[in-house]
This record gives sequence, C-alpha cells and structure tokens, in this order.
Amino acid sequence: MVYRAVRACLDDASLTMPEIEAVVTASADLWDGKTASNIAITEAVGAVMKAETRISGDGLLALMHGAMMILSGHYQRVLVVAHGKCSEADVDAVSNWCFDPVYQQTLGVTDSQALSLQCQAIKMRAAEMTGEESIGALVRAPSWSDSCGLTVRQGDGACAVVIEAGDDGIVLEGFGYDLDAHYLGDRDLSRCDGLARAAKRAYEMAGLPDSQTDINRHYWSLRAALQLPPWAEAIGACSFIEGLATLPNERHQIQWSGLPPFAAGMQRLIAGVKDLRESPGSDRSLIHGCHGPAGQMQAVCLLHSDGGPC
Amino acid sequence: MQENNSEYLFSSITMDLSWNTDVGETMAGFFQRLKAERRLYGTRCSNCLRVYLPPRPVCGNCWQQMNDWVELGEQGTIVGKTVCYYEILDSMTGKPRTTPFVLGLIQIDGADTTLNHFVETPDPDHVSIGDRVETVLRDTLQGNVGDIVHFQWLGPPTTSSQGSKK
Ligand SMILES: [Zn+2]
Repeated sequence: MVYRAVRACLDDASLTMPEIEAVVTASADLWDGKTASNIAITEAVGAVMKAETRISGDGLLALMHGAMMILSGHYQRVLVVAHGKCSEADVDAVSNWCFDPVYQQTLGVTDSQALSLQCQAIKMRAAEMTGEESIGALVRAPSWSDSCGLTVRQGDGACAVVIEAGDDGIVLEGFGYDLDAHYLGDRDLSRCDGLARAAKRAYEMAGLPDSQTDINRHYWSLRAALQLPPWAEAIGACSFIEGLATLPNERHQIQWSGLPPFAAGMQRLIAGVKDLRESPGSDRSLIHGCHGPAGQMQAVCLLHSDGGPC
Repeated sequence: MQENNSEYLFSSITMDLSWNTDVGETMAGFFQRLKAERRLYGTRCSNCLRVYLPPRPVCGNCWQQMNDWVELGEQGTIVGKTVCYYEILDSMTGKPRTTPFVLGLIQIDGADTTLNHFVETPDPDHVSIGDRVETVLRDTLQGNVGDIVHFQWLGPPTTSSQGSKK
C-alpha cells in the first residue's frame, strides 16, 4: 500500500528515488500495532541510507516538517509519506490508550466518545444561537444526515508527495499548526481555537489577513459534519452561525473527508493540488488536517498557484 | 498542613490491546512456500541480485520491488552469535527458555542477509562464528514463524557441509 503510493507519486513527479534527499513519514504506532510504525515501511518509502524522520500524527505535520527541512537550506527535495492502518486494531481500545493514563484513560474514554461530546457541544451552542427548533430541523435535514453519526471509524490508506525548493508552479505559501489542551474539559469543544491559531500562523506566513473569506477552495478533514461550523469559524471562512445554516454552500468550495486517519490531511492536500493543476489562472487553496480526540491537533497549509505548469 | 507519610499513589493499568496484523503479501508467500514445500525461500532484487531472508517486498538499497523467489538451502552458517545466561520468556512457548542458550545470526545457503534465531547445541561455549547449522522445522507446519523451531548446530565447516555460496 505504501510502496504503491510512493511509486505513483514519483511517477507523477517524473523523479527517481536517488533524486530524493530526505524522507518524512507520518503514522501512529498504537493504531498500526507497532512500537515504531515506520520500521515496517523503511524500504517501501526508500528511506534506507537516507535522512528519515517520522512524525506521529496527521500527514500535514510531516509535510510541514519536510517544508522546514527545505527552509533550513540543507535539503532541496523531500519525500513526504503518510499512512494509516487502523483496520488491524481494536479502534476503541486503542483510542482509549491515547488518553492520559491517570484520569481519562481510567474512565475508559474513547475517540468516538470525545467526538460525540464535541458534536453535543456544537449542537448546544447552535441551539443557544438559533433556538432549539431550528437546530433540531437542521440536524434532521437530509444534508445533515451524518451530523451526529461518527462518519469515520477506521480505514487504511497511504499518501505520498514530493516537495522541493523553488517558487514556480504550486507554492506552499504558508503553514501553521497548533496543539490544543489534551483534557476535553479544558476546552470549549463547540469551538476550535487550535484551528484558529494554526490558520492565523499560516495566513501570517503567506502575508494574508486573518479572516479569509476569499479563498474559494477548501479541503478540510472532519470526522462529523457537525464539525463544519466551528472549523469554518476558526479558519475565518464564515461565522459559526453562517456555517451552521449554509454549509456546505455555494460560496466556498469545501471538500471534506476524514479518511483515512493520519493520511487524511495529505489526502486533502493531494486533492487540492490536483484541482489547482487543472484550474486556469491564479488560484489559492486551503488544506486542513487534524488528529487527536475532538480535533486536539490542528494544521493548515495554504497553496498558491500562478496558473503555470506544475 | 498535610503530614508527609511517604505514601505513593498509583493508577494501575492493565494493557489489553490486540491487533490482527496482516503479514503482507511477501511474508504470506514465504509462509505458504514453507508450509507446502518445507523449504525456506527468499526474495531476490533483480537490480543488485541481493537475496533477502526474511523476504522483503522492496529492496531497500535499490528501492526496487522484488518478485523473484529463490529456493534456499537447508543449512547455513553462523555469522554472529551471543550466549545468553539470563532467562527470558520465549514468546513462542510462553515459557522461560533454559539457560544458557545461543542466539545466532544465521546466513542460510543462498541468502545474502541473515536470520536471527536460536541455535540448538549441547555446548553453547563451543559455538563459533563460521560454524554450520541445519534448519529444524516442526512436524506439522502452520504457516507462521513458529514453524522454524531452531537451527541445529553441526560444528565447524567441512568440505561436504559447505553450502553453495554465491
Ligand atoms: Zn537491490
């Protein structure tokens, strides 16, 4: 699976493995059932005798690590690979193990429960702002059929991209990430302040204003449709209430998916790059990735295309 | 004010996690061949001709997918060894392995890489690098790592026990 993704990536970039200087991978040990989930893919990603780094988290973080390696001036071309292989694990047991060992783990808290708590918090906030009847109607509406459902339980997948120094074609013009508090009770789960901070850093790096309502291509990672309003609010695409009432709307071309865990952010990135390649003229896309209970870790990348060949 | 009574507080956790790890196409091919033919097989890189045992799907040196299977010998050479005097739990039996025992790196005839496994011998202190060993498989093969019981120590190499080295 990982080899096929890397092969497809290098073929697409018309590159050979010796032309790759360094490799950054993203995967999660517990979900893979290994104490170092990169050991099983060392050969597949061509990392033997190369500078290799592993990030335990969403693939977009690996991309940012690779970008920082290039920005350091020591590397020109880095392969970034993300994979998730959750189908082999007992997802609830594993996600419980991801919580702190003294309190939340002892209570048996799981990823699904955290997401469920977040969805309830979002619904309560929505009810306060709109009145219970209207939120009830929204949640029952066909376009919100996934609202309370835990849309992404598990799934396997691998993604690979090559990034290199330069300012032609599609440029990674900004990126930012942020880790929110681990304890679910330390956060207002109806909001996503971590995402707001991550987006702010990305906008600053790209020289853009904080409130981004003119980026018309959005690629978000979500595990439930109800995360859309707080995500939209944090990114600055629109207000919570606008997001609640109108998302997905015509104004923002939002594509969202949470699959596969740990590769989802990279999968969003690849979708964004593919669309930018086909778009005539200058265009900009926002890529979002996250991992952790109720979106604890948030990452945002901004891509810009001048419309030239890439 | 609270008295320092030196009492430690612990949160006791028992880890109960399980995975069903797909052995992958390549190791599945290895186990299937082992079970069907009672032979060890490796994969060969068509670029550098290196033969990997355990078989790997991709040659790390060449980043080349390996689809060539190579039948390997029943004997091999010890290229590394350590004598263990500290008792460990044998993960295949769940019981402690009697000490002392020898853990060796064994290069099976025809392979370029080595397998780490137990070397069965009456006298661990007399096992030397370069000595020959023979693969011992369990009677009824199941298609997993446990099929290789150990490698039986044969002694220093003789002309007849030297395998066909590439
Ligand atoms: Zn090779």
